[in-house]
Amino acid sequence: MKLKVLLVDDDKEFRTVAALVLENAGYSVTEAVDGFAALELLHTERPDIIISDLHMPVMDGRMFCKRVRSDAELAAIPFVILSAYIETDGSNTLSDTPADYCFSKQSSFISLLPQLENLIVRAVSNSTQSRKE
Amino acid sequence: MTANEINPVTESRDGGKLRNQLFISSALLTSALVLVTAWIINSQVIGQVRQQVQAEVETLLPVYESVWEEHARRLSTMGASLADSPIVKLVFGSAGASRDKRTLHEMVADVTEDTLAAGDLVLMSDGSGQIFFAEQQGGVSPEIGKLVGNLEAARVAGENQKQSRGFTLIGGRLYQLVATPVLLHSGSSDINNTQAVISIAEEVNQGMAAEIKQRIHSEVVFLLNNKLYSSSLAAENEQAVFNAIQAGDLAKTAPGRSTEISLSGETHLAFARQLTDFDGKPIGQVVMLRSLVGAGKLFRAISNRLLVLWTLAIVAALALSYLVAGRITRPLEKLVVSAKELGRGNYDVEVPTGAQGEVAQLATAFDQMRLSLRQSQTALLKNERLATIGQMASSIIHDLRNPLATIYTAAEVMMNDGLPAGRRQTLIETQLRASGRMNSMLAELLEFSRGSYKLNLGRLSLAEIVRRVAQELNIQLSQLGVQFKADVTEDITLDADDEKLGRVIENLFVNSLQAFQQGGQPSGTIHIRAALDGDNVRLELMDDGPGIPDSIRERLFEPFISQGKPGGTGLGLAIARAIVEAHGGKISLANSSHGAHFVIQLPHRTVQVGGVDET
Repeated sequence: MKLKVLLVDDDKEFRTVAALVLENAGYSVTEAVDGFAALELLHTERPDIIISDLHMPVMDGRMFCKRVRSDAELAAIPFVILSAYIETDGSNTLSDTPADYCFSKQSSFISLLPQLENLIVRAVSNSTQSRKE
Repeated sequence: MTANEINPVTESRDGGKLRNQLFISSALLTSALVLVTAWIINSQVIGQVRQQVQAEVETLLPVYESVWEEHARRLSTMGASLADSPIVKLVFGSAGASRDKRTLHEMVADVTEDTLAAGDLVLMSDGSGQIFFAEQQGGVSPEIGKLVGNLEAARVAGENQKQSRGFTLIGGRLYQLVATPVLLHSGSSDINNTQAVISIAEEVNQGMAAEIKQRIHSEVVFLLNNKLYSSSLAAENEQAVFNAIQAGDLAKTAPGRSTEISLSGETHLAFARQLTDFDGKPIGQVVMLRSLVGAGKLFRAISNRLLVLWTLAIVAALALSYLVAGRITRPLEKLVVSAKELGRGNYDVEVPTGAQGEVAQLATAFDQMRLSLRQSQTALLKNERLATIGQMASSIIHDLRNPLATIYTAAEVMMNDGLPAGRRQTLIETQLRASGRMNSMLAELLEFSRGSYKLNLGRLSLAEIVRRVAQELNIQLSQLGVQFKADVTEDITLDADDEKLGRVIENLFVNSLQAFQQGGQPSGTIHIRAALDGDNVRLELMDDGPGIPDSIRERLFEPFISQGKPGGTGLGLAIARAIVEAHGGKISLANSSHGAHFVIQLPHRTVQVGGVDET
C-alpha cells in the first residue's frame, strides 16, 4: 500500500511538479489549494504526511498547521512546511508554527524525500509506542 | 485644505494679539497714572488759589470799610460846617428869623459854598426829629422837597447833642446819613440847647457800588429786604447774580467768611456785610463778589502748561508702551512664524535668535529643537526608505522564488532518464508556464519602477474595453462561479491608452476575483458601470465579495500592499493608480456596506499628464 501525501500549495505549477516527484518516489498524492480546502479533505482522508506552503489565500500554512495540531484525530500526522519565505531548512525554523519540519523552496525538492521518510517512520514508531502504553 | 495650510490673514491677526494686549494694558496704566497725577496737582493748585483769594478778601475788607468812612467823613464835615456856621445859629437861634424854604435854601448854599454834591440830601428837623426842610442838591428828585415826617436819626442826634451816622431809608431810597445837631449855649457853660438837626445824606446807589468796586476790585450788590437794590453789575446780569446770591444763602454765612457761588460758569467768592442804622439794627446788606478767574490767572497759566505736559506725557507713554510691546512681541511673532513653518515640515526654516533675555533663550531652545527634529526626520526618512526597499526586495525575491522552485525541481526530475514521455511533456509545459509567469512579473516590476507611463492616446469606446477584459477573464470567472454584469452604454468614449486602460480594469477585476477566491465564496457578482459626470467619465467596479480589510484600506494603492494574493507582485492596484493618474484621473475606494467599490474618474478629453513618480 502506498503512503499518502497531502500537498497544499496555491501555486498550481509547483503542485504539478512536486506531485510528480512524490509519485515517482512511490507516494500517493492528494492536492489542495489552501489550508481551508485541505481541512475539508482531512474529513474524509487521512494522509501519512502533510506538505504545506506558508503563504496562501483564505487560510495560510500557519493557521492550517495550528488547526491540524489542535485536532486530536489529526495531531499525530507529520507536518512539513515548504515555502519560498523560509531561508534555512530545519525543525525549528518557524517558532510560531508547530510544524515538524520546515523546508525552503530554494532547496532541491528531491532532497526532501529522505526527510519525509524519516518523519513518517518516526510518527509510526511513536504511535506504536503510545498504543503499547 | 489640510490642517497644515493656515490662512496667512488669520496668522497675522493672531500674531498681533499679544502686542495689542500688552500695548493697551500698559497704555491704559500709564494714562491712568498721568491722569491721577494731574488730578492731584489740579486740586492742589485750586486749593492754593482759593486760599490766596481768601487772603485777598481779608485785606480788602478794611478798604471797603474805609470807603464808607470817607463818605461819612464828607457828610459829617458838611453837617458840622453847617451846624457851626454863625448864620445857621442865627437863623435857628433867633425866634424872629425867617425859616421859610427859600431862606433856608440860600443859607445852605451860602454856607456850603456849593460844595455839596449833586444828589446829596439836606434835611432839617427840630430836636424831636420832625422834618421841616428837605432838598436834594441838583434837584434830582423834586418830590424830596415835600418830604415830611419824623427822622429817627435826627431825633437821636438831637437828644444826644452829637453827630450820629448810619444807613436809613428815606422815601423808599437807601441813604448813608449823618445827622448833626445845631446847638446854642443856654447861658450856663455846660448846657446846650438843640435848636435843630441838620442831616446830610448820600444815596447808596449804582455810583456808590461802582466806586466800591473800583476800590476793592469786586462786584458789589446792595440788598434791601432781601431784594436787589442796586449793584455794580450790568443790568442784564443783575438777576442772575441775585439768584446765585440767594442760592448761596449768604445770610447764614459767618461774618468775615466767604461762600463760593457760580456765575455764568465762573466761580466767585462772595462775602457779605450788614448795613446798619443808628441803633445798630441791620437795614440792608452789601454783597461783594470776588471772581476766582482773575486771581486764578496763575492757575490757568500753570494748568495750561500742565495740560500740555500731560498730553505730552500721555503721548510719550503711549509711544513707549507701543515700542515696549513691539520689542517684547516682535521676536515672539517671528518665532511663531518659524514654528508654523516648522509645523509644515520645513526643517530648514530660519529661527531668529537676535532677541534678548527669555525670548532669546526660547529662540535658542526652539532652534535646537528644530535641528534635532531635522536630524531625526532625516534619519527617519532614511530608515523608511531602507525599509521600503527591503520590503520591495523581499516581496520581489519571494514572489520570484515560487516559479523558480518549480523550474528547478522540474529540471531536476527531468535529469532522471527513465521518465515516461507524458510526464516529461507535463514538466516542460510547467516549466514554460512558470518561466512565463516570472517574465510577466518582471515586466510589471520594470514598468512600475520606471515610474512613468507613456500613453498612446486614442479615442476609445469604454464599453469595448470592458467587454475585452471580461472576455480575457471569462475562464476564471466561470471557474469561480462569479457573475459579471456591465452597465456601460456604447456612447461613452474618451481619450485614453487602449492597452493601459484595459490593464487598469483588468487589475481591478483580478483584485475582485482574488478576493472571491480567498473568501472561499461559492458565487458572487462583479458589477461594472460607467456614466458621464460633467467633464469626466465615472467608472465604478463593485463586487459583493469579502471587501477590503480596514487594516489595508488606507494604503491599498501603495505598492506591495496586498490581501495575501497568490503569485502576484502586489503591484496591481498601484499600477492601476499610476495609469489613471497619468490620464489625469483619480482612483479611489468608496465606502460600501459589503464588498469592494472602486471609483475611477477619467477626464473626457485627456492631455498627457506625464509621469508618476513611484520609486
